[in-house]
Amino acid sequence: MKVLLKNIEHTYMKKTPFEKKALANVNVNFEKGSFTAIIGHTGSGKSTLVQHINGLLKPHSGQVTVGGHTIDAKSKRKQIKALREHTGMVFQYPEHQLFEETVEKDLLFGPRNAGKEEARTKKRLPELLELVGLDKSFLERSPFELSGGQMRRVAIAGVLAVEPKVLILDEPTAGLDPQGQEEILSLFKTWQQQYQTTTIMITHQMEEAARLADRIIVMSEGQIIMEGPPSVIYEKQAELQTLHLDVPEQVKVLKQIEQEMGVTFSSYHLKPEEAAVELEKRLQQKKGDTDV
Amino acid sequence: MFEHVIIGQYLPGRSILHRMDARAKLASVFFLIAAIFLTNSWTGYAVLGGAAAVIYLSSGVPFRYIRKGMAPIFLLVLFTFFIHALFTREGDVLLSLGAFQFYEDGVIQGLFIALRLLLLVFLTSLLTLTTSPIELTDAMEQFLSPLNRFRFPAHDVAMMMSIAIRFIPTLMQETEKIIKAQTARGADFSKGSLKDRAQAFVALLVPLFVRSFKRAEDLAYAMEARGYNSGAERTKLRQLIWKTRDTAACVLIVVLVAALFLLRE
Amino acid sequence: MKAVTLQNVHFQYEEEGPAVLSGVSASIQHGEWIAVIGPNGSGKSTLSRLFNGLLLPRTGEIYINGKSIFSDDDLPVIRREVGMVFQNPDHQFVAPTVRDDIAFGMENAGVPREDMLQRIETVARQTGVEDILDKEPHRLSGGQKQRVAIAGVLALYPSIMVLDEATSMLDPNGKQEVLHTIRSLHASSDVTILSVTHQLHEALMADRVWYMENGRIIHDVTAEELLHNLDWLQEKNIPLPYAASLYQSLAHKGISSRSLESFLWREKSR
Repeated sequence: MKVLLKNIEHTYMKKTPFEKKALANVNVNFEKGSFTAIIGHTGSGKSTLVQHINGLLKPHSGQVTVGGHTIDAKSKRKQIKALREHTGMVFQYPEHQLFEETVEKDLLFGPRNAGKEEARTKKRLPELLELVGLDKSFLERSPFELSGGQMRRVAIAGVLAVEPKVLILDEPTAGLDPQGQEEILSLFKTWQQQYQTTTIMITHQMEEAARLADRIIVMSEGQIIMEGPPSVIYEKQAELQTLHLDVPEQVKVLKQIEQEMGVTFSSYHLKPEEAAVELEKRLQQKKGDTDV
Repeated sequence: MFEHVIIGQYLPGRSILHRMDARAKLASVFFLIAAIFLTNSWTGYAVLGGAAAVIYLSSGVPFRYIRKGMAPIFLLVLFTFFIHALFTREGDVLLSLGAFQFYEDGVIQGLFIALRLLLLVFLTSLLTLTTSPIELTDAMEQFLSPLNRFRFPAHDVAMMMSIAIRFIPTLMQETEKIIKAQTARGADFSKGSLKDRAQAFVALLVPLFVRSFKRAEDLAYAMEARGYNSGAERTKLRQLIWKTRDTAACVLIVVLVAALFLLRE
Repeated sequence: MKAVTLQNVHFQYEEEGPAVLSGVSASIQHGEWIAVIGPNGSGKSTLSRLFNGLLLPRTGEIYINGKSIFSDDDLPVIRREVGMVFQNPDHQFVAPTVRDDIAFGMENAGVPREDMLQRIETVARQTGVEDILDKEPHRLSGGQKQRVAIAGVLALYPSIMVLDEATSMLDPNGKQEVLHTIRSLHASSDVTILSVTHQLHEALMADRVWYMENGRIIHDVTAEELLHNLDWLQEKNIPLPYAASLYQSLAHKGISSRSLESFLWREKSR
């Protein structure tokens, strides 16, 4: 499903001394089946932005369109609910939202609210659990006796259970060990490719963004500052630094090696093994040049 | 989301009332509350009202904070007024409305009760608006400490209170987050059938409880690791400083309360 | 005398429960920085909680500065000598303001008020929280809260500081702040540090690394040795950060890069 945000404005604590403009005239589109990463500091407006996409927040001005549904400042609950049924959101530390006695019941919560046919959903649960790296024996267990990593997987499965057309992820790997992070990320990638879900992920980690997303959006002070494929954003080292955003580790490292060894890499987007191969080749070329 | 919650909220400032010793303020409010319940004459309430106004003026708190703080109890005040006005059947009949009859004494009773409630909330709001929660707990701890002799754990109680106060904002943030998360999963907290809404609240309360228990456990570990030992002798960083003006204020209040006592009918 | 000695330590949470630590023996020198890495459930966090007697081993012995953790007389002393910083920034902030929170441990230890004021000033400067002393916890970032926790520990003049995944819930900036604080502490004092972490970069800052698995320390190596043996981390399916992975690929080809090495060691204090 395509998502269009047009001239979105949002102000917190309006008409109080604490008034703060969270979004200022944001325009952005998310194509069907795309994977976008949003990067920015705490308070840059990225969480506010994504909460507009599933109607948790209404724009104070501007329009949000998800598929055939449009909401604006005047939209009623019903319209918002209709839009929300097509979107799923994985919050930071989603395991905090588990509440049912069994994993199965918790997984059915979302689909039931969306009015999905229960029998059909139930049949799909084992498959869903498998996708998040658990087996069907978990269905009967209490979510509260699971390990932290398992709880997170159940919570994620609970969001995926409604088969959202648009999936929003707010730092889904926060607090996990590197292995867990990798597994969770590849799970979302698989899901996006399999179902052509429009996926929007907030992250603090440039590396994470670069690995998964086909587009990166950089936000600062309620506005979109940069937008483009990872390879393009990667080149803008100076701008990222002025925003106090981490330059991706691989860019830093590869640039340093270029300087040290007097070589140039074909891209900063190379995998480590590829970079090693390329560097070996370049060094041999150089050696060849000087030998002649 | 919780912008309207004012009860127990502290408004930092530099007014006379802000700078007074928390113990003096606490003791004064205590005496004044006693006076409120003892007073039973119009003169008495006029004097109390005047005192409340003077205290308010020395607080520097904008009136809208008071108004916001008192709004939630307004219904309660009306309710108690009517209960008293309707069920005290003494004196002349002032007004007859079908089956309801308002007697003179009933209406006066009702007005007194309403005034008492309003004054009570007004004064306690002023206390909490001008005194930081931590000072308030310190003051309470000191007032309760004589009870240590009777094995009343004054310090632990104070510690519990101060931890509770410290975690109110955390709890609110967490509530907001879980409401959002469940709303995103299609739960509806504001509309829908009673059953749906009950379900939605279960989806909010269970995670809140689970989180609170986890937090309590972590906190207990952290406090133990930092050497907290209930009942043990501790030193204190915070000091309450009693000045001449605190004594003066307390004397004034005691004189006022005594005068009110004499004004009783 | 060693700062910490662990002798054949066994631990399980419940009588019949699974063994969480099964036969851990190791020791730490004064002023050393040890990083503990390993998958979830390997026993790292549990191990870190044994250091000040929050948990007691089933069998085996632990000596902190020569004192046994089983001695009831010594335990209060050990508690004061071993400072702990936990994972969740919000769940260890006890007091209503930064200043009060730093004072909390000192109040418990009965430090006189005059001393407290002075120590607060010193440790606040050391951890860079001197400008936020009057702030309330909900107005602080995660990184600030963790530095306050470190300040609260330092105020008790500990000889050992245990950090149990203290950076895992922080954003990149918060992580940097806290790591910077720990690094400067390691450089400027002789506090012994044990940090449990998931981050290889963080582990490489330490002097020595313990790799744990199934309740045992499988590898006890210097940070340099760890970097030269990345293969076995990869065999365990532990994803390597880009720089480390590149380092490994280049090493296989016999290429060495000075800039890459200095990146991996970053501002390592040695």
